[in-house]
Amino acid sequence: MTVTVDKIRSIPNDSIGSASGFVSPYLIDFITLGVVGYVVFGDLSNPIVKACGFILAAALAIWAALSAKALRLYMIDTPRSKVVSAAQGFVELQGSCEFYGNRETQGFLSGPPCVWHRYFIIKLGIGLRKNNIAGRGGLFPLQIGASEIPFVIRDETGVCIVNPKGAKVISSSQRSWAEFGKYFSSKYIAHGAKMYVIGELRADGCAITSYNENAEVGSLLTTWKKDQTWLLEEFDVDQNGELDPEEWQSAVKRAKALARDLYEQKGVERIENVIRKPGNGLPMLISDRHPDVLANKFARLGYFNVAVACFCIFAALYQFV
Amino acid sequence: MGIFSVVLLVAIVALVGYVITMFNRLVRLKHNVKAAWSNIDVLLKQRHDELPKLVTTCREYMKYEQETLEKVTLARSQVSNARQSGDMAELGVAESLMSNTLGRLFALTENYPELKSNESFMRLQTRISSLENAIADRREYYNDSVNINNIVVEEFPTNIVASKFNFTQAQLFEVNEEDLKDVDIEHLFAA
Repeated sequence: MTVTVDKIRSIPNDSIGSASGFVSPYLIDFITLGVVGYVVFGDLSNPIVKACGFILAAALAIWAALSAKALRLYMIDTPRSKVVSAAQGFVELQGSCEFYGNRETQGFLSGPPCVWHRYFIIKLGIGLRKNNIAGRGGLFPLQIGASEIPFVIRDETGVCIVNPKGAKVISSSQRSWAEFGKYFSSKYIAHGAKMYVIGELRADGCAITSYNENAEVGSLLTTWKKDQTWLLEEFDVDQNGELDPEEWQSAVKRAKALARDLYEQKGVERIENVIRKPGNGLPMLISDRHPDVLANKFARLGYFNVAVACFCIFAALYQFV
Repeated sequence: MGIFSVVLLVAIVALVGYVITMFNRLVRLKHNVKAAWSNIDVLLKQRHDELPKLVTTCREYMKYEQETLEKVTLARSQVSNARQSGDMAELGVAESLMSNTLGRLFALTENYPELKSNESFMRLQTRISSLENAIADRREYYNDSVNINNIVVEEFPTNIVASKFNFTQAQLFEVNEEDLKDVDIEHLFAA
């Protein structure tokens, strides 16, 4: 009864609510600053058009501020759940991240192993200017993307699968470099990092089990190592008081067989939960930063957007002075 | 319309928006508390349904422990009454009694090897123990929800909106920690 990654991705999002979903404040900010930039530096001469542009930017900034505030409130108003007893619905989990099953995700362009990454590649030197005329010194985006492979969050009580599709991910690890006339940048969440997730937890539609052989075998071997006497009695064939590589391999082999047997026995009982983006307009947030740091970050983002909105309102009024 | 009027209008719109945000937050917190309570209630109901089976199974073997079995039945009805009334203080007391009597019962079963080897008893014991653990976890979650709600209801300036629209503090689900301690089996047998 092993579930595939595709099955997790295809779980229907049948919650009732807003179809538009939660819009990231960063995305709104990007559009807002674009509008402000166009109005300030563009070739607009009509003050009414300029004022309308500023009012539009102010409205977007207020939306971004409310969005950032909402994210912050969802974070601080949702109590932390333990994986083992988490109720179905909107939850907050904290733990460390691991690969799902045996599926390891290599970082972007041979980067360190990570559970999630987002990247972009920019071509340096030649860019597109006005009227599609190539010019020197421009930046031309070649590729942008993010991984959508599910991974696992583990706390002291159990594990939960995280489906990052559509989630807002804030990571603290970054790699950037330039070579062959291109600029490469990727943000990633390293395997084993502390992780914070808010989103919708569901178990329906996936009576599933996953089997992480490395983790299960590692756990068994660690337990065995604690009882050196037993370990030597069982595997020290030549009785020289230590385990040779061949003897160690036979211990690993037996651990693999035992781990598989234990998994087969437990398999039917292990129902796994999946946390994913809610379908009712609530946000899903994944981060390797501490939740307090994130909450402060969203508070600052909210204040910044209020300041931008005030600036735009006064700029719009100034057009008529 | 002068600039002052526009600024005043913007300030009024901002204030109304802020009040709406606070109101919505209070509504969400109130429903968080309700949802957290429902999550406990489901488990209490499940345990309520399992306990008579446990008592019936134990009664067949534990002829001399009728008093303990009756206490379990009594605790069960007390929890049920408190659940229906929604009084958290009463529920806390009833839960303390339930945990205590269940702990005592499971300790006493050590004296009955035939009962311990009964498959039905083992299954019920595992089931009830796991329900107890889940109730404890969800009680913690409920109390966190209540705590967040109560802080927001009490802090300024949300308390003005809260009092205006009758948002009240929720009651914590507190169980006497002394009663949740493991039963001292040796002491029990010595008595």
